[in-house]
Amino acid sequence: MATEDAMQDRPGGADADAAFQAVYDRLKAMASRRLAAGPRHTLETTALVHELYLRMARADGPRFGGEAQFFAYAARAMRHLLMDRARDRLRLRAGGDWMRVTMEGVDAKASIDSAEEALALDQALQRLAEADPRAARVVELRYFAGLGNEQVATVVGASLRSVERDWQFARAFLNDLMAGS
Amino acid sequence: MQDPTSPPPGARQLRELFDTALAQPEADRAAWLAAQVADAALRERLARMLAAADEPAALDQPAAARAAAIGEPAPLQGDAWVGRRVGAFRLVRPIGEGGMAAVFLGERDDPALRQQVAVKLLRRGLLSEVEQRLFQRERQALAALSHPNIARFIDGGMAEGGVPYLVLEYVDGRPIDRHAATVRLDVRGRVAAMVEACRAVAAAHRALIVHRDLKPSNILVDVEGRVKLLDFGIAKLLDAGDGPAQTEFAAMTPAYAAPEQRDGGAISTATDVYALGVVLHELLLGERPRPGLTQRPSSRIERESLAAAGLPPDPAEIAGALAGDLDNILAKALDPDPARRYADAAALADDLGRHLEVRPVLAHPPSRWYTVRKFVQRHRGGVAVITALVLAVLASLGVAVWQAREARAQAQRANAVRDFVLSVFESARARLPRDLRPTPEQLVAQSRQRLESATGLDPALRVDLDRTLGTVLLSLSAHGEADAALARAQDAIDRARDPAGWLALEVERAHAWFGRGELARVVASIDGALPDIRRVSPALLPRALAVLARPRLESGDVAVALSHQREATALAEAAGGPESEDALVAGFALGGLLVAAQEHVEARDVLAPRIATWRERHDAVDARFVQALGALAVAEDALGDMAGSEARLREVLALQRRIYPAKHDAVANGLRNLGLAMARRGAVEEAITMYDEALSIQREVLGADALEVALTEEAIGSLHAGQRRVDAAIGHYQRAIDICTRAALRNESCLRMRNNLGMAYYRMGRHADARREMEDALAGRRAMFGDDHPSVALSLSTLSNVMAASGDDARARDLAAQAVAILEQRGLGDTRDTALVRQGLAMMLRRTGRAAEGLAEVEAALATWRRVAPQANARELSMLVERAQSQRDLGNRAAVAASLAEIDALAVPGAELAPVVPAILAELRAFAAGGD
Repeated sequence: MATEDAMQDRPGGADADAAFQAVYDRLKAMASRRLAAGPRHTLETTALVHELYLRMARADGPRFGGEAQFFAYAARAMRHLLMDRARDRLRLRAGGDWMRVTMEGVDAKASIDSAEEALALDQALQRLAEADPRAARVVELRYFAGLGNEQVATVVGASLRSVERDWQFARAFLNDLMAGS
Repeated sequence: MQDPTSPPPGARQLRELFDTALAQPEADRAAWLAAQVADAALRERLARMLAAADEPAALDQPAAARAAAIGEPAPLQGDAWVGRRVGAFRLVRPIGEGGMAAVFLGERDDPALRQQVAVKLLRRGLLSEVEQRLFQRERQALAALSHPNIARFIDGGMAEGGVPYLVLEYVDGRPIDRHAATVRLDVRGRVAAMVEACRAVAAAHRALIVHRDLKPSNILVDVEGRVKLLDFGIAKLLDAGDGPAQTEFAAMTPAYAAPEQRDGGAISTATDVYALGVVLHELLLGERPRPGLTQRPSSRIERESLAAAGLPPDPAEIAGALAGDLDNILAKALDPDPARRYADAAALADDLGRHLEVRPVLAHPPSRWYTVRKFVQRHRGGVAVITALVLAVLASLGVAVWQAREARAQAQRANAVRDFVLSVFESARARLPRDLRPTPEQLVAQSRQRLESATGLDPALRVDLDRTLGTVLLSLSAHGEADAALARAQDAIDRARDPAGWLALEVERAHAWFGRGELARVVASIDGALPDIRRVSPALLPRALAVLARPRLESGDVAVALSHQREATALAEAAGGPESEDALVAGFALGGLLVAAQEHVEARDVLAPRIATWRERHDAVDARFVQALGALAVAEDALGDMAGSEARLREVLALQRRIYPAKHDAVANGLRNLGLAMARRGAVEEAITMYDEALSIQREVLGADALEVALTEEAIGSLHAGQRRVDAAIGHYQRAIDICTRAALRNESCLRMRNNLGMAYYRMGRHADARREMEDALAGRRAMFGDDHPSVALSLSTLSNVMAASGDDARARDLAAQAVAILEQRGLGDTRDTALVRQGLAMMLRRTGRAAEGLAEVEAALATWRRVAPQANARELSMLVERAQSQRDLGNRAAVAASLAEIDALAVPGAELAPVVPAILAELRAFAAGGD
């Protein structure tokens, strides 16, 4: 149940499904191109999301139900991307057929710790989404898509003050959960 | 559908309680919780959350940083590595997959150093100790090996994740068998290519390295036709202490593996000989030897195999070529017993070379008859001519030929004999002290005589020899003789039957005509032939366009010349790639034309990157490269990049010192050019050192009365003149002119020296002497260039100064007016020099009572000056002073006052003003104030 349900609280029906998939595929392609440009081009989440916005949402806006919806998708897609990477990393922990290659200067233990922590964060986010869906969306938008509080407020349709309080709550909630995990 | 924003009831409670608790002052929170939250578990959770609210949290590490910390697991295969950096190189695209490695095209991760390399990534980590040793060994072996025909080892190490990598020279070429088939190389050409490959393997054998996996895909022929060996990756060092551990790693290709290799026996240099034998067999017969057969190769030739290999599909023809030597050589190379093979690749190469030269091969059981037959063959037809010629030249040149040949080893092509003859001539031209060199005339006489007296020559061979002779003569600048030889060759060709051959000779003849100054003839012929060339012989096009470009430029058609050379460059780039030798040389020529056309910016942009590429890809020591460097120096100098220019000139000099003997006129030229650059930046002592060395070389090599000696004397004179040591300047100028006189030289240089001498006299106040020299120079220039040449204007203007200083204002005025008229007529009216001449003219006009005209001239001079030299305020001030004087003469107080205001605004320090200026200014101020 780690990620299969990640799609469940996404708005919209079948159209939205397709729209999300499009965003995800596009983001993934962009990310691998960036990564291909060299180890210094790590997964620059914020830059990627904004670049994707310029490329997709502007041109194909109606399909995503506007800017707010687009960023929701993008944030979710980025979250998936990071979790995919973390899972890949843990899967390769034991070796297998694949050559294990890590980024320059990354040591194996720190890498695996980070991957495990990322998955713990993902699970904690699931729990947060159950407890306070808007706070979870705020985290996604701010953490994975790199939006500022004002932008997050616009996307979720809440006041700036509410978003700030959501973030405080989410931090405390996640810290508590992850400390206990 | 569920509303995603509506949380479950318990959760809503948690959030509300948290928000409210957080709103309490921190000190009161515990009490507030105790009072408000009855559920102990909930209360405890809220307490933890409140405590954790400001703790460092998972969310504090940005997602990007987290992604980086995890790293990116990626397979070695495929595109995942493309774009990554390995060592100093970025991987561009995969170019090959081998059993143990993936190979990528890499580029140096620095746009300024465009270098393409092949990066080999070992497919697996170095799991076993054996692999680690193998890798270590490969690096050592490669690093120890340096040969022009072996892909160079550049770097090696561990990439990210411990992936071992090797960086090797990138070879843009194709396997030798495909190359031979594509260009339909004949048997001789194939043997010659194999000789080149064998020589490279021999170099490795000398370094005790056995390749162990030689096969066509490891023997490439690059775009320049050069054989390049790849993948000494499994080389085994034959070091005694190295142990026999590698048999388990028998990385080899069975089809090319020697019997002992397949059986796990001892590997030696003869193992490579066997593989080379298989490749040779494949090249000559179109298929690999079938194991177990003992017949001679020439007796089992298959028509289909020949066709597939691009060989003449006539088994009888191939059998004829193979029967005898090649059969024997193949048999000896492919002997199952390593002890009976050639001991190493050098022995195989030598025997193949002997076959090409029609000398007895070792593979042949020696017999008296065989040796005699070879001797007879050798003295028949063209071989006789070439051999006799080579022997004659060898005798006269002695050991130098051998050295020249070594130095040119890289350039050896399939047609080894012809190249060798060329190299002999080249060496005769450039690498011997003058007194030891046979003159071009002697060589011409020798070779032509031999060629004409040889009877029974095959007509095709005679054409070939005439063409070769013509090419040699061209390189010796014996243009008339070259044309004669080329014409003979051309006459023997039927244009209708062999248009490409005929046109190729026409282009070379045009080159000769250009050398003889027959520009119109070149243009008429090649311009007319271009459509034909485009149609039947596109490969000839770059050369034809290049030959056409020069006379176009010289006859003033700059745009056409540039367009020709641009096209030639583009074609060469398209044909061999932008980094091929042909393309770079064409670009060098384009840069040279651009410099000649004074398009210095573009010249620099064309030359600089190509020079950089040449440095990486080719041996720097090459006359064409040196010329390109020199041209770049001129361009940089013209663009004000004195430091860059001087650096180039230094390099040119260093290269010339490597190319030529210590005392050679080219070295002296380099010294003088560098001296000029140093003199211009005021490094007087260094410049004099350069000049002195140049002078001593030139006197020794060229004789005391050579023009070059005079030019160096002139340069020294100008250096002294610039330092206001006019006496010394006059001495050097005079010596230079004496040389011109003794040698009866009367060219532009000699005339310029005379005018410079006149200027020195003028500076000393010896006006009569100055006038005599300048009038002489002026007469000479008029005779040489006509009355309206810019150099005539220069003479007129300096003479005008002398006349003014001698008090003949009217004559000075007329001379200056003539000079300005010429310059305007030549479209040079708005240049720096013209502005200076105009200022002089303005003064003369004013002094001869024509202040109004003078005012117009000085206004024009000022306008030009402010445009071309906005920073040169002292000169601008002197022009303003001249203008104010004209205005005063015209009685215009207001205008004088305005000019004075402009003068004051310039704020030129008093020290920079000519001594007379303050007095004149005082006078002008008094006038403006209403006095006078």
